[in-house]
Amino acid sequence: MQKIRPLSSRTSDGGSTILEVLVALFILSSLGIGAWQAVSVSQRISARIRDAILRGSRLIRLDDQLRGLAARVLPPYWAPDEIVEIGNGTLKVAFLDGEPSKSLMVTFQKEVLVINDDAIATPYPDFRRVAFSAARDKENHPYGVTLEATQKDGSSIVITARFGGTPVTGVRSP
Amino acid sequence: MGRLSAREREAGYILLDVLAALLIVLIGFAVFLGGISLAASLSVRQAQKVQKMIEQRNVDAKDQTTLFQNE
Repeated sequence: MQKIRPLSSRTSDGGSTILEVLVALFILSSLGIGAWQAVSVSQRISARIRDAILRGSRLIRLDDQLRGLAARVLPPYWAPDEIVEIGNGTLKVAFLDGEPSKSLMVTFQKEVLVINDDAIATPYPDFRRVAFSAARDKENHPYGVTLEATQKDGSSIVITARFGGTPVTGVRSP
Repeated sequence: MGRLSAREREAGYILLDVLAALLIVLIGFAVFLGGISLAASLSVRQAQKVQKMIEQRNVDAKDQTTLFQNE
């Protein structure tokens, strides 16, 4: 009977090296897939964070501009009580800088809010819904404008901006 | 206890190397994800701050008394 020769140590070393390489490849590929997932998720999150920060800064800009322009509305003492005109998606207030021909215009069309001061129109995109109204005091006299806006992410904001002056009809006598 | 052979000692070093590399990768991931969560919490706080600031300005606008303008 022929004797079976045992495998040489060199042959068994070669087999274990292949196994080690395969295991290492498996571990590396698992880690790679995990890292890929983490990177793609983090990219999505960072895009959302960037959008949120941009929305915040845009809101502050809108608030500053609307309040600044409303403060420039200076109706004379003889102005009528109703100086705020509200139409379908538009708000118009005359007497910008005290001149009857100049007006503050705010329009909302196709998810874009535009603030216009008769010289420059500034667009603010990504709004789902915007409603305008006149801000009124206890005696129902308008003292400013109110803008209620819902952003694309669902968050709502209300801005009440006061005029720089009030017609005499809207001022209480001492 | 018997003495370790050179091969066994080498295997131990490789295991240590692999563990150290894994630890470094894990720390890197933790720092990366921590940075993202910090940025997310900062953006949420910023949004709340903006909301509060606008609400305060609304209250100020309501309470403010209008001065007569100079003609």
